[in-house]
Amino acid sequence: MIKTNNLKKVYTTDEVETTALNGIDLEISEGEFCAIMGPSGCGKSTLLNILGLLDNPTEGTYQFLDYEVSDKSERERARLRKGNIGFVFQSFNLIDELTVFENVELPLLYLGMPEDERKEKAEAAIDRMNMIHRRNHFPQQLSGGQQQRVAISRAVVANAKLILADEPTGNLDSDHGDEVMKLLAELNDQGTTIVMVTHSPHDAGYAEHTINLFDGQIVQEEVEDGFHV
Amino acid sequence: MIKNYLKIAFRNLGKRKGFTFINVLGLAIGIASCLLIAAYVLHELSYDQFHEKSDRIYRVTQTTETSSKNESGATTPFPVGPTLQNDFSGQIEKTVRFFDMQEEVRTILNAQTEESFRVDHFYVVDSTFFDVFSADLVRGNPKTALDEPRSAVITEEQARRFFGDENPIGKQLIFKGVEEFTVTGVMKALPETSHFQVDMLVSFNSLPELYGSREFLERWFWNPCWTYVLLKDGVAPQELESQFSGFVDKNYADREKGETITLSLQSLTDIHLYSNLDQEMEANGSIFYVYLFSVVAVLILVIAGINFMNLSTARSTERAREVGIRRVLGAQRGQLFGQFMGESMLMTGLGFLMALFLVYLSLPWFNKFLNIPLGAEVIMNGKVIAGLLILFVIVALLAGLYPALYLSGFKPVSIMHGSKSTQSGAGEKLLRKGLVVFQFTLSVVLIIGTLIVYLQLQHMQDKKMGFDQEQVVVMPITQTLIAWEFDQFKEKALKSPHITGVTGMSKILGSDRQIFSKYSPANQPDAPPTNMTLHVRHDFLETYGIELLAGRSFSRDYPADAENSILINKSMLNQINAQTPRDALGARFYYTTAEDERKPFEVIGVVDDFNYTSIKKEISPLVINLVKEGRPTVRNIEFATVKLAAGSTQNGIEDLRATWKGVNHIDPFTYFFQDEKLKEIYKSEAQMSSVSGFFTLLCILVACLGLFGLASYTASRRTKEIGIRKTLGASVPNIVALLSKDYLKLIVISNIIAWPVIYYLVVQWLQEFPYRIELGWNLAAIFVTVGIVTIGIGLLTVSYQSLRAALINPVDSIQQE
Ligand SMILES: Nc1ncnc2c1ncn2[C@@H]1O[C@H](COP(=O)(O)OP(=O)(O)OP(=O)(O)O)[C@@H](O)[C@H]1O
Ligand SMILES: [Mg+2]
Repeated sequence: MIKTNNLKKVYTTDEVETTALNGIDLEISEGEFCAIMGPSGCGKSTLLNILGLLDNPTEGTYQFLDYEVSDKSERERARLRKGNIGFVFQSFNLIDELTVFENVELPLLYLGMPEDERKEKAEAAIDRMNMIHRRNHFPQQLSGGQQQRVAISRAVVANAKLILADEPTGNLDSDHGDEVMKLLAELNDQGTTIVMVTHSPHDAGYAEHTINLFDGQIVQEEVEDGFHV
Repeated sequence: MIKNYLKIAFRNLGKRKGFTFINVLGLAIGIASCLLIAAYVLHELSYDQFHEKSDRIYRVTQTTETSSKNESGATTPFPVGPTLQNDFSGQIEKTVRFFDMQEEVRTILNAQTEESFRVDHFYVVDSTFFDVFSADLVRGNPKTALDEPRSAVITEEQARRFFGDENPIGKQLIFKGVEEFTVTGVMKALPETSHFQVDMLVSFNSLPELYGSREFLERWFWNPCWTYVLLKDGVAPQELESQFSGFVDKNYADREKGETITLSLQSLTDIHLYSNLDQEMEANGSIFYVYLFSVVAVLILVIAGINFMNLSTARSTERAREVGIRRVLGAQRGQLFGQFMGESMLMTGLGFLMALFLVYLSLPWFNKFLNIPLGAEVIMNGKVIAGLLILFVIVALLAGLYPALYLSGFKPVSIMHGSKSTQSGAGEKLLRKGLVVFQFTLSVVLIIGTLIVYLQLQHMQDKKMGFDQEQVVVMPITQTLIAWEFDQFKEKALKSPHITGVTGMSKILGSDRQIFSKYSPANQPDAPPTNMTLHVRHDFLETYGIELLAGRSFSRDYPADAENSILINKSMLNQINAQTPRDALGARFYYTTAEDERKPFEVIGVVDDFNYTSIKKEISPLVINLVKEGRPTVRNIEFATVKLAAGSTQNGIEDLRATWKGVNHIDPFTYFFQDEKLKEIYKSEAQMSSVSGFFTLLCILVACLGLFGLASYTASRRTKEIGIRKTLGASVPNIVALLSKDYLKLIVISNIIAWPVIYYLVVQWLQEFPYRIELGWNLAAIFVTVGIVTIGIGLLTVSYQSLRAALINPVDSIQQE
């Protein structure tokens, strides 16, 4: 599903060049649960953004669903993202002006789905995260864990094949964090590919494929149960 | 500390170059328009202020009322001046009369070189002219220059024209080939801000010699003189005015029965802006436009100012985070306050500098546009500079105060946590929206207003004159050989294949001048003793394409036409109780001669109404009479009119010139086109409409700049939201629509609010015109078109920003937080 070759990302600001990624070769198959770990500033978010087609690499190739995307424009990447990739962020990134239901419904709206179908799917997704009683609340009226559950509902509502999560438990206490991790594991069991950035070894335990980054390079990679090395 | 603030301010402005530029430019355009208008308004207000005694000088005006007419004229009969001086010597220090010989061509011949020149502003004035008005004599003695008959004072410019570098004093000038004048003085040209201009002044006591009689100087019927009085110190004009009714009763003995005459005093400095009487010396300005432009200037300034504050405050909410951190690090409230005020002052200062630069760039162009010479000195006077400084402080304070107070009052914790406090409040948003609506409503009102003014002026010029204007050439011929040899001239001119008609008449059709003579319907006791009259030669109707409704035109087949026949216009039907034009044929009029003899005239034809006088006036009843050869022609036919064949303007004029030269070797060939002359007559309206067009454009520009700024602000405020929406699959058009929708709604609302406003204003304004455009589907069409155009402009303005926001990489926008 994901295959990168010698992926590099260099940020240039005020004449200072930061090499955030420095030659990443990576392969993630469909149905995998993959955790990316590493110290702060080693390039985890950068990698996730590129994998999620939110940004282009400076160098290297990236095949997403066997399609070369490293040099595609934002327009084309947007088309590929739609319906294929769901995102979960550490800071939730819900739209404050919209209710829980409206937030979750949004990806379907952009897919051009008819209203009754949208309603059905959005409610099912919210229900799955046990948030249906809060469907008309605004994000600010919810706790962090609840907000993250809404964000996950929103990520899965369009049946995304791939979910990218950047420190999804980073802003949560361990109980709420565990709850979120269980939900992600459940999604993975049902066939969704998940790539997650985390600092917590405990959370990484849910994954069967772990990648350790340091200074923009992969320094260690572990795969359980018959997946490739 | 101040230095530190300024440093930070500069950096902040530099970081947001685009925003700073838009914000400052909007303010600068607002201030610059305001300054330009201020210059214009000050110029208009300064008329006639240069006369040292301006506060004591008044013009005597005369209103004549009968049952059928009400004329307010700027002129009075010849004896009014001297009689006033004589009767009220306790209150009046001096009087001075101006008489215009009403000759369109005043050919002055240098007696030595026999070169001839045209002079435009030529007045016969009393010798007291220099006692009353402040005009500088460069040569000659102001006390005596106009004492002797046949004395002439000319301006420096004319002196150079007539005599080159020679000393003009004592030189001879010849007027109309016969009358001699001696130059006794050379004066400086009057300033532009005078309600009359002078090229040449001639002593009043030349008149008896020029006209070969002094009798007319004592008549109280004809009123051709502009009469000014200089009141003694401390005399109130009302004091004198209150005695005028007795004065009228005593002196206007030969006024007609049922005629009421009122004399009034008009302050010299009010003439230019407030006076719009018949027979003004020159077209005046109008206080209406002074008010109108002042209002527009203030509105533009308010829009620009509020825009400026709006954008500054909107931007500052983005900096809540920065403020929070600064506070955490120990900044005092006062220090933050100082920082924001510093930025605001810097930005306002830049705006003012830019405004001065814009004024400097546009002033010459503005002058050309308005045809007035405004210089930097109009603006660079103490009052304007003081006003600018006050304005600077107000704008800087208002723009800086709100963010300074608002942001410096934040509690650090609330800023660092939770994003809520950086959001604009509902009230603030409403204010911003209200402002956009206000700006666009105003812009729409101005656009539609300008369009309607333009349409109305077109309408007046094209449609309702009632006579042909195209290819019609008019030549002033008073007291030229052409007037004497009119028939010979006509015969020769008609030989040209490019000339299709020749006629003569007593005044320019469509000009302000009115001629009344003693034609009155017989057997109608209520009818006025005089009627508006047009003296013509044969072929008048044909040359001007005026429609004959019944009867016949003057014809050579009826040699007695000049003695016993007249034409009337449709408006006259009422006065003679005729139902249809046909009914009027054969109706009898009496003409009362100077010897009080009654001569009968018969109506032989009725013509459709046409604009004898200004198109701003309703068409009055009119008598058209035919003037025969000889002396009457010379006196009454002041203009010859020639109709050229379509498409042969050039050749026609050449043939005409040759014909003129062949008949008249003395006077230079002078002509104008009827349509151009009328355009000139209505120049001030046309000028005002182009000026208001210009400020309309500015208003829209400023409003759009504000919208542009607000849109870019909104787009930046919503960057994160846009990013999120994009990660969820929103397309670029989705985002553009999302961001533009709100503004478009506001512009639509503005249009709808503007409609009743403009409708009300237009109906009021059009009331002034007897011939107005009809407001029906065309107004609706204008409303819709302007609506579409403003929406289009708004969309372009907003979508640029929206598109930019929509095309950002989502990763950049999400990371903003
Ligand atoms: N927009 C950017 N401009 C410049 N440099 C950047 C930008 N984004 C990231 N970097 C740099 O790239 C490197 C990797 O950043 P990244 O955000 O991927 O780290 P991370 O592993 O996610 O860290 P953390 O665990 O703290 O979130 C860092 O050194 C960072 O400073
Ligand atoms: Mg990170």
